[in-house]
Amino acid sequence: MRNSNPSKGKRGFSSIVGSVFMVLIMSVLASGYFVYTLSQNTAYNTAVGQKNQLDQSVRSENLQCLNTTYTPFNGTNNVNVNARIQNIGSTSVQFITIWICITNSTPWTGYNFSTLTNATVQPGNVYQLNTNLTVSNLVSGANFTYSYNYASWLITSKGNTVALLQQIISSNVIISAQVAQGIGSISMDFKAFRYYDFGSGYVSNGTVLPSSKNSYTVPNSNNTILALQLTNYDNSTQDITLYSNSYVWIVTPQSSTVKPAAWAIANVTSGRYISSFSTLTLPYGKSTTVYFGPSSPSFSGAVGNVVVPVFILLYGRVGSADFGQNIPFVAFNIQT
Amino acid sequence: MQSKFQKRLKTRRAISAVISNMVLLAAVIAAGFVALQYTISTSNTYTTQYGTSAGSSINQLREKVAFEYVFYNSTSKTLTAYILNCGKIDNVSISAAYIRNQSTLIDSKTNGIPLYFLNNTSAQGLNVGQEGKFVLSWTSPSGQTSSYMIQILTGRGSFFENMFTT
Repeated sequence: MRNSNPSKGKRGFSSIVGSVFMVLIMSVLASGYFVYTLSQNTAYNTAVGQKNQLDQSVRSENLQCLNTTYTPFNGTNNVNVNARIQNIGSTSVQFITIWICITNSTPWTGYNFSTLTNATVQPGNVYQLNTNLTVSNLVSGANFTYSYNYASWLITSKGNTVALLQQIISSNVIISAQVAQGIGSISMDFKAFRYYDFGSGYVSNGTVLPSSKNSYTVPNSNNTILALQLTNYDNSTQDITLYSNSYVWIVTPQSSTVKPAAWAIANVTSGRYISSFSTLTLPYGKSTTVYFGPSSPSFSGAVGNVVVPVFILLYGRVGSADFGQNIPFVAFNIQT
Repeated sequence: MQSKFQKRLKTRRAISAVISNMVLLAAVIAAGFVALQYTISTSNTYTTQYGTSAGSSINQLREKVAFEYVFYNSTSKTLTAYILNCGKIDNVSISAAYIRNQSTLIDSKTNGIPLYFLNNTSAQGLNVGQEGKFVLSWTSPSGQTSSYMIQILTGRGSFFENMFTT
């Protein structure tokens, strides 16, 4: 017999409502958490992608510094930095800051920076840097009277550092000897040797140099000024400063003694002999004409041609250290 | 023999069942709402924590600091580091700095590192593309030229490092 009480058939109604709430709760919980997690995961993946893209763009910056020169100017503490930087990468590069660091052996270090504007270089293009920097405002003491070591670098907007390298002498051209520290830091171009023969004339301050002679046969009695082509190949890539006590010196067998006189280093400016001489700087990697004289061998008792050994005595400073070198590979034919 | 009142009371069972069902239903609904609210609240808490954690990681990923120059002044015994915010997020601050020699920790500064712009004005943080510096009082343990590594910990927890010589 069927149950005639209608209340008995409604006992499960609360359970249904409870189940609905339970399903609702679980749905809200699961879907909300899932959707939010998904959105956060998407944001994280986006950030990872941006990070990778940033790293990739940083790595894609590729620059080549072609040459850098440092030129002190306007007294002390000021230096001009000139460099050519080629963008050999695939993206444009924006330089934002240039830094310079100057050191000597004291030890002293000075540095400074300068913000660059409109310094963007497209792929394949060359950026010509020409900027002046003053070092004294941060660290005092710079004095470019003496040689200093320079280092400078550029900062790109992506955080890369581009070192501005000075001209590198290719090892294919320069072969340093393995002994006697490469046979010195200064090289002479033997084919470029010249001298100026003043005949019997007197050489004084402002005398114009005559036409040069490309010969190792040097007159005995005439005043001559020797012109040597010297190149600074110092291993430390520093400039060499020659002092006034640098000479071209010859030894004669006829007089049976070392000749006391010699050709002292000289100052020739604009084709004229200048009697005053202070110092002469040989920049690293550059060929410089160095003049000696005026003087004459003036051998007494010698007849005909006499071949004598020549010593090129160079004294000064390399960087901030003493420097001395003798180039003994030259011979003169003294024509009496 | 039952009285008339008792008989009538027995015949009202149906009314009590409806009331009880309604009470039960109301209780279930109320409990359901409480549980739902609790679940939503708890879910919000979890999602907020997860969001904070994920956001922190995302911000760390977007941080990038480059060292422009690190200079040790042996006279004043100070280490000055010049940095650039080259990342994708603003307000980069430095919370700690560590100086290492090889793998050995030489010194650490964890009391908050004041930042300055390059014009020496104080900076709370560096925005994207901005350059700044910080100065640490530090004495190099070696009187001779040596190489060290400086590590910085940003306010968001990212590490960046750079070599320098004294």
